[in-house]
Formats: sequence, structure tokens, C-alpha cells
Amino acid sequence: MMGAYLAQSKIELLRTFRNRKSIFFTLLMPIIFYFIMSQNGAEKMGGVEWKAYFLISMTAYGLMGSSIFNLSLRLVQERTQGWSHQLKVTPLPPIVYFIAKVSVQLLVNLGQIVVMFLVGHFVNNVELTAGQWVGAGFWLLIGSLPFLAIGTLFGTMNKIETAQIINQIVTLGLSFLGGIFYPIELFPEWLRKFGEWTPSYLMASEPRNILGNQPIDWGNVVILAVYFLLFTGLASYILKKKEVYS
Amino acid sequence: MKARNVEMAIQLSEVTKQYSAKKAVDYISFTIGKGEIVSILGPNGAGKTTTISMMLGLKKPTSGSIQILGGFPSDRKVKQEIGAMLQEVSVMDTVKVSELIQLFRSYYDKSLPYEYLLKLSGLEKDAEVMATSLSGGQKRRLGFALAMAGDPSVLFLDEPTVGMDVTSRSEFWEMIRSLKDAGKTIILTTHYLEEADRLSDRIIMMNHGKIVADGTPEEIKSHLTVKYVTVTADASLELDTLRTFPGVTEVERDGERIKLYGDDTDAILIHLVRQNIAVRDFDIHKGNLDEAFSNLMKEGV
Repeated sequence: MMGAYLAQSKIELLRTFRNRKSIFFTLLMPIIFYFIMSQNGAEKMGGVEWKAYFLISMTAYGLMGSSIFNLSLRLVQERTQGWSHQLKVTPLPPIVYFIAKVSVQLLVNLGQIVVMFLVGHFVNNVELTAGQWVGAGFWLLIGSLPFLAIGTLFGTMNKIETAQIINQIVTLGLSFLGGIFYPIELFPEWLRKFGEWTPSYLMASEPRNILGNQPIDWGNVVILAVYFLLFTGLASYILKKKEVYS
Repeated sequence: MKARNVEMAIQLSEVTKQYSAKKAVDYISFTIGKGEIVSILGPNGAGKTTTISMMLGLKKPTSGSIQILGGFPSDRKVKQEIGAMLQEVSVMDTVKVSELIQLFRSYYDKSLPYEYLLKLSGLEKDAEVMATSLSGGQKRRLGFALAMAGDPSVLFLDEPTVGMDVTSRSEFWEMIRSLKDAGKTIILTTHYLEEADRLSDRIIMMNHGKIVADGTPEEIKSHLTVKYVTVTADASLELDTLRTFPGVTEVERDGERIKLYGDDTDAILIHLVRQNIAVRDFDIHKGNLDEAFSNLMKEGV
């Protein structure tokens, strides 16, 4: 069983690296955006240096995209093309297959965080304490969990084209509403109240608290957990329902 | 019909699969013994693939029960012992042939050696090629190797040779025969009659979700084909005399040719000779599986 898990994980990791489109959109694009938009001045945002603040934003943006796109598109593709049927005939328990997929995506997310932080520090001179780097990275990784659940949820869709469109809309929508592209501190009051409930805002809020030497907002962490459970529950409910009618 | 005393590999009892209005499989029962090669034959939409899917645990029967090797199709223990080549072989994208074979080997407690499986796939030269770039026939061969990864004792092949050229098809048949010699139980669906006739010990014919015939290829042929002796005779020959011959069920004249219908064509022939009937140009028609098949399907409608 462990052997099957490792073999499955190895394949998933290879596939991620072979997918150039995904590498471009989830790693290179956030880096490019980061350089374009972090060049104007040294002002602060929410008590945090702008280039550090925006590093968190763009890392969160990359994590959101890769978690949603990688998982959902692959799940839809494998189901619609009959690959998951092929797997169901083998003794590999579906849960092992699924855990391999999610854990590899989590590993990819960790890699993304490390690359973004290295770029921020060595290329754009973002200076943080070791504790801040680790803490911010940790909370970004935790914050990406609800997006893995969203990716799984969107992975239950029947058509790859639909999934692609929904992914785009949701990623863009959450990026704007959650203050990823444009700081939420500059939103009108009513929109800000709304944006503070998005998982994208919440994912970036703990890392920013750490950068601004603010305490962790456990209320936000609870909301993230609720999102995670909600999307996971919804996804497994839909998958069960599909099974019954097949 | 046979294999009653042999150890049982698969048992279907009163299995029905209903989709909203249509019964894809309609209350069927059969038993397959260990070591048998069984073809499930029938036209498109007869319920062959649905039956296989239920045996594999991919679909749940609406009612009835299925047992494989003493367990349920969904049991992990059972899955260790079965292999399947599905009708639509799909492969993961951005994965090489070699990686896919190794991946499947990892799923089983006891797997066949990598080199052996690669040889089965016939893709020795393409081991480092992305599986998605293979041709349809190559993908089916790869699908076969993946089905064999766990050295299964029961092998399911759903339309295995669709898309294969003549050479790979006969190579494939050769492999199936050697697996039979190794004592594997093999269930294949096909709509190539020749394939069913050549490979299997037993044919289960399906139409409209029901089993319409079950027996050895010879039994099926003898039950379902029309057999007759054709002879040439002068116009003066009385057909009524021929009608009294034992075993003759019907006589028909078509110009100079006369057709004598009956199951035992040899007996009819011997009788004609013994009675010194003035006939010549004997021709015996025994029918083939194609004919049996089309007769059967006509009955089914």
C-alpha cells in the first residue's frame, strides 16, 4: 500500500513538472506580476513594507491558481477519459490515489512558497527574520488547504471546458475580492467587509499579521477551516451521488 | 453447460441492470468455471459491456448478485486476482509507457516483472514515449499489459482487438491461447464472430440484455444454423418421395437444384446413395457462426 502511494505520488509529481502551462501560470506569472507591481516606491500597506506585502499577495495568487487548476482539471480529465475506471479495477484504494494527488499538490505549493520567497529576498531585497519567513510560509500553506478542497470540488464537473471557465472566473473573482491584486485596505468600506470573508483574503491575512508583528487572528483560521470542511464535504457528497447513478 | 463440476470462478445470479426506462441487462444468470475461456457475444447494445462492468464492480446491479473467486467484485482481495482491459483504454497524459507499467505494478501485491509486461505490450521500442502519443492499436496492447500487471487468475477483455491490424490481432490471439494453457480464466466480449469461435471454449450470446444462447461454439453452430444437402436432379424426380426420407424436414426445388433440409446431413446423404436416387453434385451446407449469429438476432427482435 505504501509502495503504491509512493509510486502514485512520484507520477503525480512528474506530471506537474511536465505541465509547462501550469508552471507558467502558477509560478512565472506571479513572479512577473510581483516585479511589475512592487516597483513603485517604498510606502507601507497595513503596517507592512509594500514589497513584502505584495510578495504575500502574489504567492497566495500562485497557490490559489495551482491548487484549483491542477487538481480540478486532472480529476475531470481522468474521470471523463475513463482513467478512473481503469484504476477502480485495480486494488489501489481510491482514497490512496486521492491522498497522493492532494499531498503532491501540497508539496508543489510548498515549493512555490519557497521559490517566491527566495525571489523576494534575493532579487527584490525583502528582509524578514527567519521566524517571519517560516511563519508566513506555514500560514500560506495552511491557507492553501481550502483551495485544494475547491479544486477537488470543481474536479467533480463533467466537462473539462466548463471546469476551465469556472476555474478562471473563481480564481480571478477571489483574487480581486480578496485584495490579492489591489490591497483590501484601499477598498470602499462595504466591499472591504465583503472581501474579508473570502478564502483568498483569509489565506493572506495570517502571513501579513506575522510580517506586521500582529497576533494570529484565530477567528480567521476558524473560517478557513470551515471553508475547507465545507468544500471537502460538498465534493465527497457529489462524488458519492455520481457513483450511485453510474 | 460444461464446467459444472469444475471449481467456480464467477457466478451471476438473477442479475438485472436498469437505467431509467431501459433494462440494459435483464435477469441473467450464469456460472463460469476456473480455467474457462468464455466469449460474450452480441451486437452493440446487447448488454455485454454492462455485464462486464458489473462483474468488475464498476457498476452495481439493480438487483441480483455477483460473486468472483468467492468474494464480491469490490473486494480488494478479489481485485488482486483480476485484470481488465476496458473497452476504452485511456492513458494518463504526460506519462511514459515505462512509467505507466511500473505504476500499475506497484498496485499489486504480486506483480509480473517489468520486462515481461513490456514485451506483452509489444512496445519495447516505445518504452520512453508518452503513452498519449501511441496509436489506438498500441494503446490497446498497452492496456493488455496493464491488465496483466498483477498476474491475474481471472482476466476480462472488453472488445480486445478493436483497432488492431491483422498481424497484431493474430499475435494477440496467440497470447490469449498461451494464457489459457497457463490455466487463466478469461472472459472476453467481442462482436467478431471469428474471434469468439477461435478463442473460446464457450460462447454466451446476448441480445437485448438477455442470454439467448450458451454453449460451446460447436453447440451454438449446430443449434442455430440451418443445415441442408443440395443435389442436382432431373425435373422428373418426385419431391414427395424425398420428403418421406428419415431426417428430412423440408424439400425445396430451385431449377435443377434440390435442397433437402435436416439436422443430420450425413444421414440424408447416405440415404440418397443407398436408395439409388438419380442425383449428382452433392453439396453439404453446415452453416457457420456468422449465420448462427444473424439467425439468433432475427429471433431476438
